[in-house]
Amino acid sequence: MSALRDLVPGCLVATIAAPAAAVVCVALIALVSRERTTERVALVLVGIALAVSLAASAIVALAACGLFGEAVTGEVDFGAWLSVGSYEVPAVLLVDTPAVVFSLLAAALTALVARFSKTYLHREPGFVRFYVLLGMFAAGTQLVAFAGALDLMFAGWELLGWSSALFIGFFHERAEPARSSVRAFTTYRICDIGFLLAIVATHELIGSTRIFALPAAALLPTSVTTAIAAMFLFAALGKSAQLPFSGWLPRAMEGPTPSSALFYGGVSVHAGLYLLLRVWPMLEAAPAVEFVGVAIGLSTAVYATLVARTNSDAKGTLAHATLAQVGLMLAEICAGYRELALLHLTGHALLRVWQYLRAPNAIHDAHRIGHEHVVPSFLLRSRPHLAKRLYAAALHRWRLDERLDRAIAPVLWLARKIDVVERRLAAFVHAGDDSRTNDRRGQDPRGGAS
Amino acid sequence: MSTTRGPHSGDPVEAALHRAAEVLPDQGPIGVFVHHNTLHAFQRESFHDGVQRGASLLSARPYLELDAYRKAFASGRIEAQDLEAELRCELGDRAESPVLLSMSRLEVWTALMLAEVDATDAVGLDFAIAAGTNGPSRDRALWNAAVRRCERGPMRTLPLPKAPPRHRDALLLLGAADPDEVVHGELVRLCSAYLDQGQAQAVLPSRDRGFFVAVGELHRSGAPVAFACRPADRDLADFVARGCSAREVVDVCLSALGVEASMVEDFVVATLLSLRGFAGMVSRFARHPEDDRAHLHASLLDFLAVRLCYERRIVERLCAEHGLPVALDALRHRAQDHALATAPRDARLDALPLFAVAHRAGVGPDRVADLPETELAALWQEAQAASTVTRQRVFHEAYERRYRRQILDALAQLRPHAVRGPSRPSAQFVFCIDEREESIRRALEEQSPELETFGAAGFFGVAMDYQGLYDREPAPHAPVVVIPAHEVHESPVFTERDWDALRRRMRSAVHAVERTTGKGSRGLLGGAGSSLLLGPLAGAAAAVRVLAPRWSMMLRDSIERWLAPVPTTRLVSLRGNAIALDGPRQKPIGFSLDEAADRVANTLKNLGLVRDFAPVVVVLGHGSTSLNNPHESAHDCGACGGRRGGANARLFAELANRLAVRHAVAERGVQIPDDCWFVGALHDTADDSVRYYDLQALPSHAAAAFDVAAAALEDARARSAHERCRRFEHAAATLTPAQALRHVEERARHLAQPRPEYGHCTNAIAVVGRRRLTRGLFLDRRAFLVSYDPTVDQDDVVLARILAAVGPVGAGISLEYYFSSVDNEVFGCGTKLPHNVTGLIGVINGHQGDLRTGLPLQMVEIHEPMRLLMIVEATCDALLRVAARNPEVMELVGNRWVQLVSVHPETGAMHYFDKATSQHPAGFVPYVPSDAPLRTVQTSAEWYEGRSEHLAPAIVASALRTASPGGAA
Repeated sequence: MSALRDLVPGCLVATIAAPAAAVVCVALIALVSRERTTERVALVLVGIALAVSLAASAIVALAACGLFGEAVTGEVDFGAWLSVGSYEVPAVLLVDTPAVVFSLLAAALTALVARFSKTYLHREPGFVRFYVLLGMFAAGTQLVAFAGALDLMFAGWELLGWSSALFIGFFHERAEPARSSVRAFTTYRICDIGFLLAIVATHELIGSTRIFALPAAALLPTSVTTAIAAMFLFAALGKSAQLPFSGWLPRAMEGPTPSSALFYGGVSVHAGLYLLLRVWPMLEAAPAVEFVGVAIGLSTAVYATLVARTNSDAKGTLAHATLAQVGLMLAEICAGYRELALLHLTGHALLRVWQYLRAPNAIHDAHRIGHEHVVPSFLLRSRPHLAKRLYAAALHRWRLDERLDRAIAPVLWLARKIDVVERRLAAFVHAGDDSRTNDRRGQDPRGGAS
Repeated sequence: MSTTRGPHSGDPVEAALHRAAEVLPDQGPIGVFVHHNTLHAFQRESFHDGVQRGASLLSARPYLELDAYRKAFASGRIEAQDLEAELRCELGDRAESPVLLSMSRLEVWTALMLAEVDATDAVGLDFAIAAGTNGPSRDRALWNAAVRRCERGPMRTLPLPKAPPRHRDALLLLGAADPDEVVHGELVRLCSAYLDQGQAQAVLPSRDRGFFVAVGELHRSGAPVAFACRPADRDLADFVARGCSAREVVDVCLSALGVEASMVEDFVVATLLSLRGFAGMVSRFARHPEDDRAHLHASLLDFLAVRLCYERRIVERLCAEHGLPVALDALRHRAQDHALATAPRDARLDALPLFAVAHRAGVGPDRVADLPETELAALWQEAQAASTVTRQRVFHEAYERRYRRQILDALAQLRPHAVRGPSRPSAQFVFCIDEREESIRRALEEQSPELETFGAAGFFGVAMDYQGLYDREPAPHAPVVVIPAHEVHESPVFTERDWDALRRRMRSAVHAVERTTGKGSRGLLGGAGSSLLLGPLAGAAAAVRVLAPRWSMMLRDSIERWLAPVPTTRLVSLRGNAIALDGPRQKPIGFSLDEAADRVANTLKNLGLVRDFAPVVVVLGHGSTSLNNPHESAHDCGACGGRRGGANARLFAELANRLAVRHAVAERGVQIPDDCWFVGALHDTADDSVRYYDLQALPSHAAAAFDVAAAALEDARARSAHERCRRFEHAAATLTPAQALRHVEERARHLAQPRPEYGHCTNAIAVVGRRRLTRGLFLDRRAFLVSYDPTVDQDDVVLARILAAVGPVGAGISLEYYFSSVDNEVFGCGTKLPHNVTGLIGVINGHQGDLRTGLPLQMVEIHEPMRLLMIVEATCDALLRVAARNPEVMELVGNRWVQLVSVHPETGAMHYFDKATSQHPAGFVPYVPSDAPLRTVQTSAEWYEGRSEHLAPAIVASALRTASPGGAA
């Protein structure tokens, strides 16, 4: 038994490294081999890796429950990942209840979706790409789950973001998926600024980015912790599609059904919540941020519930129903009910994955169990004007995307102006010494060079 | 410009709406999928004119891409003789006259057909040459000479680009943003809310007042439209407040958009076609209110009014931004001038045809470099005549011709081997004509010469509105062209009425719980509760259903059978002659004796089953069950209007077994012997299961014969599953028939399976005639097999009846598959993987897009798009007589939307209904089969095992044994 217990560090690494290695292998094969990589290669390599990752995650979970002698919790140190001068990123993994739950949930759902997709994506031209992204996602989630330091977690967080955006744009030959993918990616990048700043600030003020060091935040002045916690919250809002960043989530339905299930029903959409659970000491030291978190969570919940009611497409309804629950969980966490939130998260992920996977069955189900005719709501009978206004707002999702676009329009305008000035400047500088101007600049009327 | 004007030719908007309604997709809600000719509106024209006009209207491909045909040529799917024959047909007397480089016109055209000559991208062309992947890279010297020659001119004349039909197209050419992106975003959300048949929990307010008013009312309540479309919201609110009609609004918008009267029709049609899925559904609901369970009073004009209001404002905004005129004509000119100014000609593109011809002629670079101007001009003339679409058409004809030759030759080869059936077969099986039943019929016949099979349109002549035990209302079980005059209900037998009542209550309670949790889990608090309570259950369910799809469903079914078995039922099929039991829908429930006898006798006569009855006749309808498949209904029986044919088979058997009916049938000339028993059954084409009906009524004298029949069918369905598995890559090539059966059972129950079955995919032929014409021929599940005995038929009455049903149904299926496979993105609905079920009416791609109609890629991926090859065992005269009496058949045959072949009932001589050529006018021409011997195999498995591609016909010897003279085996 204790032998198994000694396996825990190895297993921790395996949860992350196995899918990562599979991704590298498949990518190399696809790069080197002259023939098209077959479905079989991707399936076998990624499949084995996900199975290993799941098994390793299960062993860690059992060890953490105390099945192999004394319960395993706490940090497992692997030295430094990289160090630049005095700054170092510690390679430290952390085993505790949220980590084990999140890891096991993610590993199990990923393996399930991988099995599902073997049949679902058969003969799809992007089959190999799908499995590479799935492996990338698995490595990212496991790293997020077990990371014992914020910088390490950020690495996983990025893998998650990249794979998510690439899955949304999976059918890149059409315009809409590409647009939606860019929107999700942009939202992630903007919110990642919060995460990065928070990491740097934590390192500067506490002297370490280890999760175990975070309780030291209690010693910092409230204004400082509030600022840092706000940045963490900002990062979480983007990843979990909370207001005002909710617009990308319905657009994420452009990907194939199983990836929607895994990402936006199961794991990815909950990652923001998991981040808040990790940095809870920082949040605890910032009551104002907690209050804001509760407010945002509850408003998202109400917003998404209303939108879900007006949606008549299967996946859009599910996306907003999911969003509503994630909003509730955000409120739970910020109100301090962390255990409840973790339980809620687990049950919710399982429920939604199942519902997403069955979403194409809507017509079969309607034939089987019938559907009730919808009666006009109480509001429509008593305050028709308000009801219509509310309905239209919900149908058009409060035009969140449009509002955001218009909010950042001045920034874009400024950027364009700066671009023009820069081109002119560059042209002016090069005008004298460079007679072989390249074609594109030559044709650009604003470039002015010839 | 349109040539087909509706009855409203005075008013361009009315005319446009009329024309748009014809061209828009005619698919109803996807829950009942009826295959039809995607371009039905063009059926009045000849096939080639119709597909080309329809496709150009929708910016689609009318045929496969040239490259696909060239691949087919390279692989031998099209033979050189087919291409030559079709080219000669196309060129007529001019085929042999010399054009350039001492090549005949035929040779020049062949060169243009077989080489890639249509590049539009000079840079890409250079890249391909450098990479050595195209023709010119094989002979650089010749290529360079051709380029140099083309640089000197004269230049090849290219067809002028089409004038942009809408502001949007002109704006795109001029580099502005796409207005449709915003307008469609608004319309998709509004339309899916408006057309919703019960998926959303909240309903669009005032939607019963029509789309236009409902949207106007939303805006009146203060809801804004997307920023780029403003102030269309205020316009609409204003129009509705003033009580303007949709028609007035359309006129206001058209004049604001500067659409002159002469352009209105084309502009409006193009505008409606730009969001054709939703516009088509609105139009479908307007013309077929019975499809619309929400009773919307939909109108295409309403849709157009809202659309134009939004479109007008965004077009005005974009034009103002870019300093462009709003008036359509002026904008078009600007766009065309712009396109001409920015499209430089490149000699390299011109050089491609020259290279192709010179390469084929085998001349050297010098000869090409010095090509006289007259010869180059002659080449351009030929290149212009051999336009892309012309070459596609010729290729397509050759593609069909090759297959037609293969099949007709096979039929001719089989003829001497044809066997006369036994005097008393041990069992007879009547299947639907569906081509998917071809393999199971062959599998039965291979077992014993004592087994006979027949094919009849799967409603078996009993058109009815059928209400099953748990159906909420009756649904038509008949071909769409037939409106049933009767209702038939399934009800529990007397002794099980109490159990039925109890089971009904339990069933509705369970469903209510399912509905409530489904709805609740998507709400706020319900979602939280069900996450905590049902989450773990859902996780377990997901794991079990994904990891063990077959086992878990079978376990579920057996638990249900054990806990709450379905009560024994019977059909309320016959009513007294005098009493008309009118239901609430003004239709009699059940048939009178005469009506029943007419139907039974007619069906038996259609089948040619009027003597030599076996002791047991099994009648099998068919349907298909699959999960997670919005297109499930597309696999059901086309002859039952996209529903399952089991009830029709059951009803037919039940009627035919009644003594009174048999007496009346005897009066109509068909003597059914007393010891013959009919058994109805349902064949599920997805999992190849067979379910029998009313076996409790089987008389003891028929029991032994039924056991023989059932055992034969049990074996045949496994063999049929085995044959189907050769097409599935996930089924190992080494499966035994029993394993194959398990494989297809798993497929049908797999949540992740986008191909539970291939449906009608690969359908190509319809053979109307006696089974001896095809018995013992391996037709690869590609042939509709319709039983018809010309020796029984008097005055072609039966032939007329059969062609009236089989022609439209078969052509509908074949043409739907044709279009969905030549351009899956436009005529079909693309890959299934991102599909999202909307409003219970259809699927959209991803989160927000147009409703997708037609068939998904996964259903057509192995299809060979061809017109249905109808082979009828009847004289040419009989066929012409019948066609002349039935306009629909005449249209299909005369305009060549199907290919028709007559097989003479006595001599077997074959005549093909050919197009008009220089040698003869359109009409029947004799077909002389080649005498190359056909491959003979002992069993079907010997022929198909280990091969997944399309297979040529072969003679299956075991199905051609003669019965022992002693009678039953």
